[in-house]
Amino acid sequence: MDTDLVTRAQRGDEEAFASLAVAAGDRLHAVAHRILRDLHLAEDATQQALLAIWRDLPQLRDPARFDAWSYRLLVRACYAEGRKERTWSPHLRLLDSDEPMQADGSSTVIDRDQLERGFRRLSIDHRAVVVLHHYLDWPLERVADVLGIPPGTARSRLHHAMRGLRAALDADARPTTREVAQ
Amino acid sequence: MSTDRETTRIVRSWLDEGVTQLPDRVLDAVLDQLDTTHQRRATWWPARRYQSMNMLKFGLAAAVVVIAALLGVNYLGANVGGPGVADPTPSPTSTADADEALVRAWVDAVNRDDRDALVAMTADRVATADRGDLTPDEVASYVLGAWCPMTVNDVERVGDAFLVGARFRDNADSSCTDAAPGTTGTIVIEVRDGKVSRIP
Repeated sequence: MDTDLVTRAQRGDEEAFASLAVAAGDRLHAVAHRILRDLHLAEDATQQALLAIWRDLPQLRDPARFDAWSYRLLVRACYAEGRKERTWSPHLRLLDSDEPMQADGSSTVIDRDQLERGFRRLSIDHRAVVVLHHYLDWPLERVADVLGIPPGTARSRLHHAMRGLRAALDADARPTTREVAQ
Repeated sequence: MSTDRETTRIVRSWLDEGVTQLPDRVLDAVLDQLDTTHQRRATWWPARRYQSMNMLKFGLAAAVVVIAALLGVNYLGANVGGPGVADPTPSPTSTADADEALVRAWVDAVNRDDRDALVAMTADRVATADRGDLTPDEVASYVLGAWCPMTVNDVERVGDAFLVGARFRDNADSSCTDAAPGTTGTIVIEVRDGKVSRIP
């Protein structure tokens, strides 16, 4: 990240901020979409995060920490959007028809469906740790730093979340009552 | 039944799918709102620069006065006590250095598992800034995570620091550290002024 752009944007330079937003927009949106699992909520969260970045940028002491700081504001925006989701979302998702499938065409889709359900059952707190650690490939210390939580809490959340996702996958692997009867 | 590694692989693969591009209309909407979204003034250096400079000058002047007063009191005290009266208090610098050396020696002993060099475990509690009073086990859980299977072997107070040596036995799902799954290792945790940190 160009710290000169950050410094200029801190002083109110809108062109510098536009360059920052273009550079950061895609990565923020990708993370928001993975946390919220909803395209429209993710767009709203990214928009709110970018505006919060602009609004609070003068308060960022170290321009070199812009990336980490922007993710913190994004996760906050995801919390806000996640609250909206709980109030009205029917928790439905259509699988895209062009999604790649495995050779038998079934297990990948089933895994995804089970993961989707398992992931939606997690709180935004837990989802954020999973996404930052497994999607961005950050070490847990960095995840904890960005989220403003102790490293032990980050590990506990990751463990809890992964246990839930594993249970979701295993639930699908168990035979149904009809299969057992046969 | 899925293994931890298999679950991690499936989750990572699943997360890699999906959108990665922010639609232009969202970016345009943000940029359109910049004019009407006022930036918050910095609460640190730039906004309070001149005030800070005055504070700095005032602080320096106050420090000079205090040091002069302390020197005066010491001079008078030495004269009243007469020659041969030594100051029993070691300088702060030498105390801090001694503490640091003791901490380092203790950390080395924990890492070597040198039982002779370590003090038996105590039942002390220690105050942390954001979790209140904790036992040594709770301090270790705070850093390693509640799910981490571990044993707290060693606890000691060294100067102002409270040290906890903990051994984690398994690291499945990276629930203890970022080390490889199945790893066993030792870590040392320091609590100083309420701040909990891991000593490398």
